[in-house]
Amino acid sequence: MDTLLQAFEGGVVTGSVYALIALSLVIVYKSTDVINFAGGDILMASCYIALVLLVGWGAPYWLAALVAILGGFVIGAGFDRLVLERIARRARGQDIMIAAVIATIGLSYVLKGLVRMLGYADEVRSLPAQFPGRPLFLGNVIVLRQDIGIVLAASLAVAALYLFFRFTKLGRGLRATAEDPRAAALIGIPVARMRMVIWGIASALAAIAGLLVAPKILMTPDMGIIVILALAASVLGGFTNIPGVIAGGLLLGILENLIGLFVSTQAIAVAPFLVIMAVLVLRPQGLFAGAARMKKV
Amino acid sequence: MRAVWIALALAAAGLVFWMPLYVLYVANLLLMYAVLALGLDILVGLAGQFAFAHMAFFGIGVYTTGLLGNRLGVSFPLPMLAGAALAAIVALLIAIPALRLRQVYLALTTFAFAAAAQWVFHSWDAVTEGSNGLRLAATRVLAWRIVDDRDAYPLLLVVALAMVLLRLSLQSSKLGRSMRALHQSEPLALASGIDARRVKIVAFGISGLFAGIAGGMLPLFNSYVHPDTFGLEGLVAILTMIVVGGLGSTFGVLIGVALIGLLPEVMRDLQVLREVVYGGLLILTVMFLPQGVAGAWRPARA
Amino acid sequence: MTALLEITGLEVRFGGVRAIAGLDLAVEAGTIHALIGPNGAGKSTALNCISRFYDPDGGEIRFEGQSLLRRPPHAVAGLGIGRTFQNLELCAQSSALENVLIGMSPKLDGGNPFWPGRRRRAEDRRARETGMALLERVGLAGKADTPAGQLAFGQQKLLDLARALACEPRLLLLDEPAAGLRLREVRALDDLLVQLAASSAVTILLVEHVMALVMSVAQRVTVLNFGQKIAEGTPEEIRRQACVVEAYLGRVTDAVG
Repeated sequence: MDTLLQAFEGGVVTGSVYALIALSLVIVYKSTDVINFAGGDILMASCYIALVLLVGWGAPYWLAALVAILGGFVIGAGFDRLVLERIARRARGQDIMIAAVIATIGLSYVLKGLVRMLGYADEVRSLPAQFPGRPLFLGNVIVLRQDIGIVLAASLAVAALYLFFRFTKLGRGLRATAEDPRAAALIGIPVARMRMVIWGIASALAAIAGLLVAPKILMTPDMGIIVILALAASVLGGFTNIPGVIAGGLLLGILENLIGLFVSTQAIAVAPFLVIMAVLVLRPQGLFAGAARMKKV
Repeated sequence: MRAVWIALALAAAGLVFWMPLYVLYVANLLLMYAVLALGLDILVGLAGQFAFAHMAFFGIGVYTTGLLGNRLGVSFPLPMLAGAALAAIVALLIAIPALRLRQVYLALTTFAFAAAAQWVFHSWDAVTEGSNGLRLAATRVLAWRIVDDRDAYPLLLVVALAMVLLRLSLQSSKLGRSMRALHQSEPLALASGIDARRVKIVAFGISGLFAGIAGGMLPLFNSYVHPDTFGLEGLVAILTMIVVGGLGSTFGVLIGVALIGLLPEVMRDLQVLREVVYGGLLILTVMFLPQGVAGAWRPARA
Repeated sequence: MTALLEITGLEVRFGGVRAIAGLDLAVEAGTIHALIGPNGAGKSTALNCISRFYDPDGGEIRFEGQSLLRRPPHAVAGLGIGRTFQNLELCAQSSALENVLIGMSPKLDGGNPFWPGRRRRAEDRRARETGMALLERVGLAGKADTPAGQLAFGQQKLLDLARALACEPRLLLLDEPAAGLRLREVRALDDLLVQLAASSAVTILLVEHVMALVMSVAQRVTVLNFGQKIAEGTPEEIRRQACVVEAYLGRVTDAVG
C-alpha cells in the first residue's frame, strides 16, 4: 500500500511537470495549428543557460533562473518571428503546417547541437534544487520538499497564466488570436506580434518546467526527449482542452509509476508511445473532451 | 541531354568499383539511403502523407533479412524479399487505423509506432539480441559469399537501380498521378474519381516495401546491427535528405541523399557540428527553398 | 419520363441552422439548368450533397434513377457526374495537361504502376491525345505544360472545366463558373457552355451569381432562398417574379423590369 502511495506521489510530481510542458505545446497548437516538436529542447537549452550562469559565471540562482526563463522566451519568440513568419508568407494552407513542423524538428536539432558545442555537455550535470532540505513524511510516504515545490510552482504558473489570459488586455488579445486568428485580425489585433508573444510565453513555460524538473533528473543535451511525455499528456487531454491536458499530465505521471511498479521499469519507456497510439486511434478527441467533433472533407 | 547525364552517372557508378574499400563502403551506404529515402518520399513527397513510421519498416527489413539470410543461411535475394514483404504488410496494417487521423496526429501516431517498434527491437532479445546488437555472418548468394564492400557493391547497385526504375515508373503512372492529386487537393481527387483512402493505404504499403528492401540491403555490407539505428536520428536524417533534395522528385531525392549522405564524410573533423548542420539545413530549406534543391533547379513539373 | 437528376425533400442542417430545408429539384436530361439565389441560400451546399461531400440529414438524391446517397464521394465521377469548384481546387504544381489527365481517372485503367508495359503506354498515349483535345476545346492547348498555378485566373477556370469534362460526364455540376471573370471571358464561357450542351449531350446544372450568364444560357432556372425553392421557371418568368427580386434586393417598392 505504501509503495502504491509513493508511486502516486511521484506520479503527481512528474505529472505536474508534464502538464506544464503540455500546456506549452497546447498554447502554441491552439494559435498556430503547429505542434512544437522542439518544446523539449527549448526546455533543455534553458536549463543549460541557467547552468552556464551558475557554474560558469557564479551567478546567484535567482538570476540564473530568470535569465534562463527569458532565454526560453527569446528562443521561442525569435523562432516564430524569424522562421515561422517567413514560412507562413511563402506557403499556402496545409503546406504551412508541414513546413512549420519540419522547422521545429530543425530547431530541436540546432539547439541540441549548439548545447553540445558549449562544452558543459561532456559530463552529466544537474541544477540545484530550489527547495532543498530534509524530506517530509506523510505516513510512510517520502515527500521531498522539491516535490512540493514543483507541484506548487506548477500550480502557480497555471493559475498565473489563467489570470493573465482572462483579465489582462494583452492576455485577452492573445486568447482572441489563439481562438480565431482571422477574426482577431479583422478587429485590429496585430496577429503576427501576438503569435510571437504566444510562442515566447509557451517557451518560457517550458523553461520553468525544465528548471523545476532538472534537479530531479539527469541533465544531458538529449533530455529534450521529455517532450514525448508532454505530447502523450496532450493527446490524453484532447490537445485543445487546457484543463484536460493538465489532467492528462497528472494521469500520465501516475500511470508511468504504476507501470514501473506492476509491469517493469523497461516498460515505462514504451508506455507514452502506446498511450499516444491507443488514444489517437480509439478516442482521438482525448479522454476528457466532449463527444467527438469530426470535420467533413 | 538526359541520356548523357544517365550515361555519365552509370559510368561513374561503374568506376567506383575500383576505388579503395572505404569509398565503396560510403557508396554502399548511399545506395541504401537512396532506397530508404525514395520510399519515404513516396509517402511524404508524392502522396503528401505526413507519416513517420518508416524506420520501423526499415528495422523489420533488416532483422528479417539478417535472421533468414545470415543466421539461417538462406541465399540472397530471398531474405531481402521476405523482409520487404513483411515490412509492406505491417505498413498496410497500420495504415488502416492511422489514416483516419489528420495530418499532425498522423505524424504523431506513426512516430509513436516507430518508437514502440524500436523498443521492441531493443527488448526482444530472443530474436534481435536486443541491446547487444545482432552479429551478421556474410551473406550467401547461391554458392558464393559476400565478404567485403567490393563484393556487395554490384549487388547493391543493381537493387538500387531496380528501385529507382520502379519509382520512376510509379511516378508516371496513373497511381502516381493520383498520389500527386491527392497531395495537392483531396477534394479535387475525390471529385475526379480517385479513391483517396485506398491510394493513401497503397502509398503506405509501397513506402514500407521500399524501406524493407533498404533493410535487406544493410546486412549485405554490415556485420553488426544495433537497435539504435532505427530511432529518431535516422528518421531525421532521411527526412532532411528528402526535404533538402526536393519532395516528390526522384532526381531531387537522389541529390538530397548525395548531399546529406556525404555530409558526415565531409565534416569528419567537425562531428560536433553535425546536428546543427542538419537542423540548420532543415530550417533554411523550408524557409527559402520549399521545393528543395531540385525545385530550384527544375521548377516546372509535367 | 424521370429526370436525369432528382432531388426530393433534401434536408441539410449545420448545428442548429437549416442550410437546406426541404428542397425538391428535377434536372431534365439535355438541358442547362441554373440554380440561383442570394449568398447563403444553400446553392453550393446542394452541389456538395450531389457530389457527396456532405451527408444530408434527410431526403433523397437520384441520378439516372439510382440513389446517390449510399455512394462515397469518389464514386460520383465514375457514375457520370463531373463538377467544378468555386474555389478552384486545381493541382497548382501539376501541368494543365496533368490536371486534365487526373480528371480522366475514372476512364483510365492505369495498368501496372511498376512497369510501363506496352498496354499502359498505349493507354497513356491515347489519354494524352484526348487530354490535348479537351484543352483545345477550352482554348488552353498552348498551355498544356504550364503548371496550373501559373495560369491566369480565367484560364484556371477553363482548366477546371476541362478537367471536369475529362471523365465524359452525363451531368456537369458547375459551381459559379463565371465568378471573377471579365465580361469578355463570360461571353466566351457562354458560347462554350451552349456548344457543350448541344454537341456532347451533357446536362448542366449551374450555380451562378452572374445574371448575364444565367439569363443567356439557362433553359430552366430554380431560385433558392434560406434553403428552400422560392421560384422556378424559364429565365424570363423568373426575372419578373417579385419574390425573386425581393430575395436579392430586399423589399422594393418599385418594380424592377
